[in-house]
Amino acid sequence: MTRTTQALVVGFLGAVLLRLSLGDGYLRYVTDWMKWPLVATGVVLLGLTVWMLLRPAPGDIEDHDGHDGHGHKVPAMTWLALLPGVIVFVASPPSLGAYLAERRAGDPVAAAPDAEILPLPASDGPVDVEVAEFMWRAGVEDGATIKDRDVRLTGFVSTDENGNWYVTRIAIACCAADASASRVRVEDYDDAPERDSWVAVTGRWVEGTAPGGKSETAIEASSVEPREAPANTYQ
Amino acid sequence: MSTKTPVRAAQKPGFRLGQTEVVAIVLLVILLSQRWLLPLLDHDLFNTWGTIFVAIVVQSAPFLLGGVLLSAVISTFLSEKALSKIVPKSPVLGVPVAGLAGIGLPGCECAAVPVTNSLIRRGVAPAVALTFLLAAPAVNPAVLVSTAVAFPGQPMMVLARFLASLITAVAVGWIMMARGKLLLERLTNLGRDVHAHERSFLGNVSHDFLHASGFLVLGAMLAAAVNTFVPRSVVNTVAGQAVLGIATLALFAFVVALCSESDAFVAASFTAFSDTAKLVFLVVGPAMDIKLASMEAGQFGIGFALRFVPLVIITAVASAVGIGWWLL
Repeated sequence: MTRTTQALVVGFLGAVLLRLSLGDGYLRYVTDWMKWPLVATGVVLLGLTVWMLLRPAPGDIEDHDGHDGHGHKVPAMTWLALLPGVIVFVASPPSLGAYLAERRAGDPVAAAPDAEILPLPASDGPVDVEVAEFMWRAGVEDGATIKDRDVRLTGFVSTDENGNWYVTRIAIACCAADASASRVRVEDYDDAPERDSWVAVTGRWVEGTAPGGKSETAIEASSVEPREAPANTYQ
Repeated sequence: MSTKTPVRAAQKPGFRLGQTEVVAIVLLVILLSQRWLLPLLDHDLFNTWGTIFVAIVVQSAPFLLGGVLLSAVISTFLSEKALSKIVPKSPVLGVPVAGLAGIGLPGCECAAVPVTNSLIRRGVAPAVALTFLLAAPAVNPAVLVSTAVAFPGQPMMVLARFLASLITAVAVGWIMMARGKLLLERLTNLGRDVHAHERSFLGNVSHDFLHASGFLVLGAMLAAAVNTFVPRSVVNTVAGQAVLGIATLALFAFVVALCSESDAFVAASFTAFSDTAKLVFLVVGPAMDIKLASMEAGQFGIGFALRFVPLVIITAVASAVGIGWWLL
């Protein structure tokens, strides 16, 4: 790899990180607090590229062994450093969605938070509840905190082989590699919206359904409205 | 592949396409043809792999750069004299000190590999530097806090993880000193990069970054493939068996290569496994995984990695099982 190509590899990676972090693109892969570390990394890598291009050629440096200057040879593996950037631009991998959620559907979810479960706020209309929260509320005290309450769950649509559909969210702790899915089956609403589209489902908990129970957590829908996908699709 | 073209290109400027131009043109063509390439690659499985692969690289990049900057500071500015004042003379003592020093570097394992390399370059005993490599990603406060959050009401899990990881790092350091003389000598010679102290600070940054980034990407590719193609339910089928469960989670921690700051959340979701098996997952992962193995093979040589990787995994499993049996 020539010195100029080395600079190109570093610069390309820097440009990709900068482009992802200055828009919303990075939110498809990592959590939102990574924005500024990524901007800084991109800027430093681009600065490094400029320095690598401007530094004196190997011949100008005093050379001990007569061949190429030191710092010249890099392992062939370094070529792979171009791959993430190429994939970002060419395939632009989207946020994890229904495909992963359906594959991970059978996985056990982590235990509910240990803290005391607070009742839902009093409200005339439906109360917005996160999908994962709805699930652990269903599992605690036989769902006392959500029983007979109108709630609204927002998420994307995933399906299963039996023709059911689910309102679904994916949570990440660090990056998309540790994603876990939570989803609630939507009942009494036959026209399943398009897979991976975003919806707000208003309705009531189906009594007796809970994670790990006889029947997976379900909501009896009274209305389903389409929603724009949020910039950050993860929880 | 890397030496022929530049010489020729330099001889006849303007007549031959140099390597740089070829790479630049290929990249440009790919960028411009994005609109036509995109539909061809629109496949769920490929997309999922791509998302996880890019996610691991994006998540690791700032940590890798941070590690490279720190290692360049050590290589360029820290004299062997200054360093020998910080690190105890006797490696036997240096090993536990290095283990405890790991508490101070909150970063993921990708940062630790270049830092370790620069410590060896600066004359720190390899066993001491390797102990630091194993301890840094595992015992720092960020990791312990995330473990406490992922295991609410189980403070013993945090303590067990801290102790088991520290014991692993120190034990590997001592085992290397007692049994791995040849290996350590090779490492010392490999690590003695005669040019490191001649290069400028930025020269060291670019050198180290280029040397580590390719191997990091390779590790990320493999980890993303495991993450995408191996369903978690396969892992869960052996949850009931004690020994098989431990072996499976140790292997899974190695291949799935999660960041040490987030692996506790995944471990907590293995509800069917025993707490000891979960602890094994938490202790093996930060000490050794496919991404680290790839970076270590690149930095220290394949021969070294082939011996070091199993040693670390076996030590980590033994330490976690022991601590788990005692505390959990």
